[in-house]
Amino acid sequence: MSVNTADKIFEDLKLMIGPEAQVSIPSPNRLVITANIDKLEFIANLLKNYGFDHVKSVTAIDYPMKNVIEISYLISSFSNLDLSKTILILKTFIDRNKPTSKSLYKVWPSVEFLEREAYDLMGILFEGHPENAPLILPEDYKGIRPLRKDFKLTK
Amino acid sequence: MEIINLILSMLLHPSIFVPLIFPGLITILIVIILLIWAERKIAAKIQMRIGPLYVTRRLGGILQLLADLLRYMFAELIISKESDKLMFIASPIIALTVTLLPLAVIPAGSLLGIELVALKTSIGLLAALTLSSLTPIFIIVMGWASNNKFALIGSLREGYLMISYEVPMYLSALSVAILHGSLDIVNIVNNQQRIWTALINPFAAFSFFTSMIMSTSRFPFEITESDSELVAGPYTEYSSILYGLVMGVPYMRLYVFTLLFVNLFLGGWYPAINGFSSIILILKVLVILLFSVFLRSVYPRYRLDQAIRIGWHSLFVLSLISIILSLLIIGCGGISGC
Amino acid sequence: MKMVLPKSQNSEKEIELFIGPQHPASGHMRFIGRVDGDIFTKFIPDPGWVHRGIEKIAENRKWIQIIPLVERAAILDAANMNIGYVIALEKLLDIEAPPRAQYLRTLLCEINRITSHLYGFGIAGIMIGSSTFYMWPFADREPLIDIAQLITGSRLTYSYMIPGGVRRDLPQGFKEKALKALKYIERRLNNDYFRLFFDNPVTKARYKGVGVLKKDDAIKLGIVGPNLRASNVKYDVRKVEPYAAYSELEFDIAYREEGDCYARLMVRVEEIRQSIKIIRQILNKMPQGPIIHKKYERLISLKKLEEYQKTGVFGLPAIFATLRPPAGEVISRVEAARGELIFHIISTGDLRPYRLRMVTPSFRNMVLFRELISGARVMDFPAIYGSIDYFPPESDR
Repeated sequence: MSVNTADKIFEDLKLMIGPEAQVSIPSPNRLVITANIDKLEFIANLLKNYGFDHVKSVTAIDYPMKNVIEISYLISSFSNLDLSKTILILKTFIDRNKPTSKSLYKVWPSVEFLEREAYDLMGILFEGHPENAPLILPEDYKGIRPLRKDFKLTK
Repeated sequence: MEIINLILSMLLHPSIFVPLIFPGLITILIVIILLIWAERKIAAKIQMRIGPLYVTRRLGGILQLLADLLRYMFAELIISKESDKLMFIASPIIALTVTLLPLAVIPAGSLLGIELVALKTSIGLLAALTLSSLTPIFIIVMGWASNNKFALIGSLREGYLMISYEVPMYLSALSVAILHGSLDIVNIVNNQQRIWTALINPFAAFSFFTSMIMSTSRFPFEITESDSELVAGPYTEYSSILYGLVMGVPYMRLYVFTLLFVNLFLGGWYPAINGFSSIILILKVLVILLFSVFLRSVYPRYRLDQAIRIGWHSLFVLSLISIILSLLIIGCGGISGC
Repeated sequence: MKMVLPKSQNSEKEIELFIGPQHPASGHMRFIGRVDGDIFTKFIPDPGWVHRGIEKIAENRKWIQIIPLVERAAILDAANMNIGYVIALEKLLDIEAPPRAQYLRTLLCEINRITSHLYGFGIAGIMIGSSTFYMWPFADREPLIDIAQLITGSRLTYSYMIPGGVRRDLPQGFKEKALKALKYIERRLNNDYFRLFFDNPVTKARYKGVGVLKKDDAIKLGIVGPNLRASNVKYDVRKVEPYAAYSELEFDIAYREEGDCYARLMVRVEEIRQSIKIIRQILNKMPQGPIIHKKYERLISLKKLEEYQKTGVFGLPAIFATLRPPAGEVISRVEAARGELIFHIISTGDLRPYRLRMVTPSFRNMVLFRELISGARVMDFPAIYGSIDYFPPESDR
């Protein structure tokens, strides 16, 4: 049953998004959309109209060797029972030396504190976010952002 | 011999005996030590734990408060630089003093036909109530002098509450005065020889009792010093011996009000044979005190606007009803007539 | 000082309060609010005082060493943090625990849910001033913690679940003791708690109609857990994506429609009742069998194998020290006591994870402080705080 629902969502999304981004199913109930940063808000609005109404996590992953930072939004739904069984990963890649990205706050207000945590711990500036301010670290912390791979934990 | 006779006769004269020894200063200190211990023990028994046990273990930890007071005396007195130093130090002392003032007009028993009262006046009830209204003013001054935002909010709450419980208290006392035809507390007690006021006019008793709970910060009206929101309300900045004083003020107020309540509504020292009148009075006072502190284990605390609403919607209306009831009984022919 | 509120219009009338970490009502976190008379005009939470960097430390620990690490995020709820991580790791390793192990895992998770909710009740009670309702739930956690000690050997941080199964089997005479403890909790909950606190007119006056969260706002803000279910959204991970033994057990989702503080408390009461029902079913239906996957059972030494068959305690095989799951990316979600817990792990086939992302339910609920308390009275702040069941160490990780 669940595999059918994920397949159906997969087909619908491929039709809606078309050539703008790549859609794939890596495992049951998990879909991945890889998109360019300019198309991010457009795809987000499409997903919201389809029924995905909140974001569970904003994961920022540092790849110093490839010189990119990957931002993954984990999206799902509370109100739609079929969609709530799947988690959709919306991935985008940004340059590690110029870490700015577009905020999805206007589409999903639930990203507010999650994006702020990514700003605080990884140093990504989200344009359009109402308040790019530190959340967890002390306000006067200056130095390498902790989740970067160059920040070494000393024993 | 002469000197000892002179001192003894001075001490035993009612106007010294009542405010100083019984039921005045010395009795208050003993009662408060036992009362706070009883409060903690009752709460502990209900909450499935033991309570104070370390000091005087064989007596069940009864002298715990004495140990606490000794500790307060040795703690460092910290006065913040930006506080109003004179009022900061003076207001707890003044608050404690004015809390004890109503004891001058409250009788405490009768011995061989002479009532044991310091000042026999014909407006005793009015004097007692008016003197008791002085304490909240100094509590508000305490919060202002501390120069601390949380203390300020606590003072404001005390101010709001003050205007909500004073009116029902005065009106209930007025209805008792109408019923017995006199403002002299001694006359009111003597008039209750056959039946207590609380049984004739229960509305007045209830509204006076609830206003009393509201005025001395007993649960569910412990709003001034709600210690899970404002750290201790107006008393936040106090340390060392001043802290001991300010913590004692609500309890002393409770004791004075309970004396008044028992005299007005529960028949004072009747039924009593001559020598035991004071003992019966103290027993009644202890029962009411234990009930008031027992409420801590049962109720959470009300929100400020809900407490004010209770003061005006419920207690004010009840006290008006009690006045009408008193007037009806008087019109019907007095207590003996009806 | 960067963490300030924006400038206000009538700064002469308003007081700015810092309800800081040194305060009886704040827990380990700070709140900044602006008070006008009796109303908070603006209120923001300031977390981060208990940040231990669990996500960063996890990049430096071997896979099996992360099990105690993620448990410490929320000590009250250790079993649920544990199972979230272990399910993600098992997805990477592509193995599944045997049925008896799944039932044992569910048993520990439900016990933890009850103790965590009782802790939440205690905090809610002391916040609005009822010291009796602070002592009673804390004391009533003891029978359940004793039960957990019988199963796992420790009172609060269990580290009980490992990839492939669990570490110990049930001792003799467990079922009678567990049923006795459950009967005690049920009697206390249904009789004493209601008479003292939930039916107390003062409690109802403080909680009813206060801090109302509407259904659309709850979905839009991404709220999870009993707070979401009290606003008429019937979402529970144990029904949406069943894990452990939940697909074989019968229970209902507790929900309410009003969305105020009283509804949130009542949802927790109902969840405790449902957890008791689940534990009784587990004790009746527990299947026999091994408690660890056969792949790992074959890998321990002969002496440890004899000890395992005699006492039911499974010593970890040496392979766990050099565990290298295949490369990949997994997401797992479980229903912790306070809401939905998400683990997002990226592995490159190495001894240590490349990235471990953990989103705890308290972190997602933190926005409720700003939304519900701005515009509410000053004395509503402890009532709302107690009803949200926010746990600062879980939120800061």
